[in-house]
Amino acid sequence: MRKLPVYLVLDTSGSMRGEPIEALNNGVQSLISSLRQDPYALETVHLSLISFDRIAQVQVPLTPLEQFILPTLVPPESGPTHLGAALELLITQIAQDVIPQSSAQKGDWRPLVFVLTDGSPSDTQAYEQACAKIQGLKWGGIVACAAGPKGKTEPLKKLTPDVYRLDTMNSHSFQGFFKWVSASVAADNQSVGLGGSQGLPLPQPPVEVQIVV
Amino acid sequence: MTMEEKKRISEYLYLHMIQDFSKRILEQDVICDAFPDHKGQDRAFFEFILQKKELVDINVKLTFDQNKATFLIAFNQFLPKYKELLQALTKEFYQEKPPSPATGCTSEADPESKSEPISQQLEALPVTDSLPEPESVTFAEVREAQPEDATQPEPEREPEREKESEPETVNLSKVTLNSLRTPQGLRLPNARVGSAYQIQLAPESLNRTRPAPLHLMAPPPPGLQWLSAEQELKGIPELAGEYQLTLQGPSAHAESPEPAIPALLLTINPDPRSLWQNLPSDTEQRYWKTDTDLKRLESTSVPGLKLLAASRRGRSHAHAGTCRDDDFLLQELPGNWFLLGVADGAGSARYSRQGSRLACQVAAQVIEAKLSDPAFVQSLESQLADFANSGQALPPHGLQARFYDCLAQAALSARKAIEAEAQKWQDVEPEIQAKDFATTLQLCLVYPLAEQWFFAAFSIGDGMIAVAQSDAIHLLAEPDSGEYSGQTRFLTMGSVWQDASAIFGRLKFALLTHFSHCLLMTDGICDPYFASENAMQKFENWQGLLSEMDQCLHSPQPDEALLEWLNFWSEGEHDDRTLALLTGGTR
Repeated sequence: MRKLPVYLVLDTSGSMRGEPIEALNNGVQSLISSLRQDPYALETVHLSLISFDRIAQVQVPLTPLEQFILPTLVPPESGPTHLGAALELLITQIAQDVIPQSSAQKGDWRPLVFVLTDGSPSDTQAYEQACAKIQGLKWGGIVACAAGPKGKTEPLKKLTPDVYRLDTMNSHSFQGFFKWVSASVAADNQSVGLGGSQGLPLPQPPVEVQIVV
Repeated sequence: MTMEEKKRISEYLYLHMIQDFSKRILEQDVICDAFPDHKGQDRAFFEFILQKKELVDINVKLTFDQNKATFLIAFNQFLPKYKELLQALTKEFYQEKPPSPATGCTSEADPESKSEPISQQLEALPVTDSLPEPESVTFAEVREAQPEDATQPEPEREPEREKESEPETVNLSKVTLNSLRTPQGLRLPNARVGSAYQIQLAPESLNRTRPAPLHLMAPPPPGLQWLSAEQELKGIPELAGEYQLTLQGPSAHAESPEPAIPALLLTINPDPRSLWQNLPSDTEQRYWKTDTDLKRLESTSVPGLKLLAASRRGRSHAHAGTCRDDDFLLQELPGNWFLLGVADGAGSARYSRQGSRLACQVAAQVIEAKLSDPAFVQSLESQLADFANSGQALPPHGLQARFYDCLAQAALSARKAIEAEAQKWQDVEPEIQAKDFATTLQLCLVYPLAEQWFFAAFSIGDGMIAVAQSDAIHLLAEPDSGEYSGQTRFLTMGSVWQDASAIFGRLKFALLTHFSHCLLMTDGICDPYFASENAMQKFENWQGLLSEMDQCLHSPQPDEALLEWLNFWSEGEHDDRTLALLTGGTR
């Protein structure tokens, strides 16, 4: 069956320790719970979780939403934010996971990506290279969100025009963000369900999420 | 093989072959039977196996990542049919690359000596504090049993597309084994309401060194039961939700108390079918359209020839309470011309329901006008007769050009009508554009000659035009598909109309002595029935679809039966479905 691949690329760097990581874990859990109430998502969405701190890791490879089991994200004591490495990993994963359309095989829907960081990429050169590669690929949508006082929106604009920011990193704001992510995925689902994904039709973000222009 | 041996082998495999995939556990019987000659149990071997196209084709898929192994396999066929192949591959691999001195499945390897890699990996995992020691590694066995039909309501018919395209994978069973230790407890593989569930937990996964009768502190989720002797949770879950099960062991007499039993965490997903809603569309909205439509004509000039069309709103629309976007046209025109058409409004375009309606209406008007022009018809019919007598497979260019003037012109006029419709809003809502009415369009003209049938088709977008005979299928459309699913071309796109030779190339013709069905369908029907465009080329892949349609055609109300049939269930396929059909073409 044709899947709608959704990648969550989440910052687990040292600065996320404490309340932020707990809020993030809860936020992702509520994202999954709410997606599971949507029949189309339950049949179509495949979800992957990539974390990045000093190293970028596939925490959960692309898995049908129905079978997805969420691990608990734990940040290291401290260390850099290798978003560039995470994007490289994302590109590799997508090449491996997402089936392109051909006459011999029905392709998947275009992937959706949600990036959340509370800092800025430490591996700037790798980051810029990865952004350049990403521009050359086809996406259903890429949404980047800078969270907390140190979250920088400027570098994220190189990745995607859809950049947002969250001022605080508590449960309330993350819940709001992931609720909105869920609505975005559901909206894209709607359009793929009707036979045509024209990219992510972003619904109005909640008040916690500010649009960066 | 004894249970003890199986267990030892499984543990061996677990420790050494999938050492870094501690969150997933493989099904031991399958592994051992499938890879009897497998000596090294290394990841490279599996990667090698996975690259083998033969296995990809039979839906055996084993994927590795740093924290899981997924084994997707056609259970019933796998062992007898592919054992030899796997044996050959195993030999091939180890001849190319001699195995490391690592011992094999049946050796008396000391697990201690192999514990190095797993402990390294465990450090990289997020929850090091609660992870087991290598010798008491989490071990569980899961069989996601096939859902019993008797226990699952099956209100709609399933299109048996897997059966048609790949007969050997009917009993495909996905085994994804993913218990996961978290600080909160042991996360069991997810269950689904109404589907059989079974998981047996090894003592090790419950921090026990040997089996012990453990009891649940509270009743399990409705529909499931806990067998304490087997340490097994099984049944058919009835209620979706997140559950936490607490186990209690016999009171500890030992001097050293045993470690705590982890809580069992279980997610029961709702059955997606139960979540689909059927909301009425708002009849007050702009360009409202009925949820279903049908039409039935008996030819007045050719006895026995029937024309039928049916169109049904997809579940995606029903769930959101939005309108059907598809449309069709069906007409018998003067002079024995039969016209069929379907149009699929783009799901992402807000007024595509009107786009598809306009496309059908305008195309019908243009074609009818053309075929009412005596001069045009006269020369067309004489050219057709010449062509039929010529013995050529394809019409001469001059005749093709007639249909260019007729069918391609009809599509172009439809496009212009859509642009004019968008233009009407210019003063009130200037943001409305032609692309808001995006639609595909498939048209087919059918004409009976003295001893043959002539078909001329024109198509833009991913709908299908096909003419079936008792033993062959002729496709008269090339699906305009993009790089990913759901991408296609639309009537409203400027790029479609730039190159005359490309437009000309959209015309397709057939000349046949007989046919059983001439069929136009939107992708809402094609996608669930055909695994790929290539699959559509093969007649055998059409037989299921055609026989289901024939059942409808034999009913007293064939149009209504077809409309009902369009409601078939196919997971992940919930688009609008529309077909236009001409049948009874013996001559």
